[in-house]
Amino acid sequence: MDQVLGHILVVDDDELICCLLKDILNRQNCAVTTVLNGASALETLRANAFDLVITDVNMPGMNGIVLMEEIKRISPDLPVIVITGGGNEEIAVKALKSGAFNFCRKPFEIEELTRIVKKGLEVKKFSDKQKEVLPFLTVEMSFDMPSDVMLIRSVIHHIYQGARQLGFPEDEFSMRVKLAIDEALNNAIKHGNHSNIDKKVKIRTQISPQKLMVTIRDEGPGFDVSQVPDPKDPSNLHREGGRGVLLISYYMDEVYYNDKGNEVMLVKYAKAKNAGDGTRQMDSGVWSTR
Amino acid sequence: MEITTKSNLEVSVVHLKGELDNESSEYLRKNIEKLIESEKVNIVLDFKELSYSNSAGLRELIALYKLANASGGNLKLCALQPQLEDLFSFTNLRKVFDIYQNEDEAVASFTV
Repeated sequence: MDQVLGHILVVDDDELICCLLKDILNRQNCAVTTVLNGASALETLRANAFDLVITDVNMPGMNGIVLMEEIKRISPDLPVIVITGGGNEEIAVKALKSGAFNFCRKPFEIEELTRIVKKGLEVKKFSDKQKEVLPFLTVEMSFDMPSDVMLIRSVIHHIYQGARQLGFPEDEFSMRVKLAIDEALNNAIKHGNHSNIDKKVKIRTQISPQKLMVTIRDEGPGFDVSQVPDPKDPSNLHREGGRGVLLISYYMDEVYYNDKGNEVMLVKYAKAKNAGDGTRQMDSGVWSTR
Repeated sequence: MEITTKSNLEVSVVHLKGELDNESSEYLRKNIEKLIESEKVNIVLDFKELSYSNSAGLRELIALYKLANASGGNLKLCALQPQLEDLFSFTNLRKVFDIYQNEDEAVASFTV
């Protein structure tokens, strides 16, 4: 075989179809692994690197659409081609909406199949090439927003998109980082700027695959974080407010306040260096919470 | 956030779906206040499909808990997802709220 174009995983409960696809794709210089069901496909994908998956839709147990959704969780960039029965346009549309790269109807037209497979392999190669530079990339984002809490959700969404694009772990973001940014922005808007729409909150964000850093500054007089009552103290448990600062320190790896107390810098590492324990230290003239 | 409520004579179960933040806290408050005004003061908040709460959400929950108690009832929680379990444990709010594994246990606790 000449240079291998890519390694393809074929999933179909019909052994004859598996053999047929293997034969067609081998002739196109593709290495092919075949499995007969979704569970084996996921096991094989976890143990080996592939450039493309072709899966039948109708299989006993896990169907092709569910399998594809699982694959997208494991490898979001892995192209998946779905095989549908002839005339089943509804399934094809559903597959595309769920993230399929393309679909192919049975019975196969060899030319159409090989064209779609080659296109899928090109897309994967391009995506792999782009990833090579990710470890050296830092994305910066700035917002100068009016003091309106209704804008918080959109700001967080933009930061989330940036983090996701750079491969920052989604589970870290989904609750912890999101909550810390939410709290810091609420503090800046409500307590710093007293929700005065004419006052701005400045947000500076730096995201790399290793680290996420968000600096938030309001136009208020600032506050002394060491004077914030401990909301975990039994005497404060029934107080309605005052948990924001605590949650920020709990969910971020490092938190720094400027001397004036109107600017906070939140730092989260992709792999946590040390979990926040809420203790505070004076460090080079700024408050740090680790 | 989506809110659906089912009530019987003793207990109202309020199912929350989505996220509890600044905006949805207000929506939750209006719903619970309406229940309490109609003398349905024993309330279970079902968190099975609640994926997020910020401190504005926590603030609202404590305010509603106090309101239910002041009206002679109680506000209990059930079916917290792991991230919210973590939030309630860390903030010691488990000591404030009665929290149950599921809706049935929470409802049954009102009749004991």
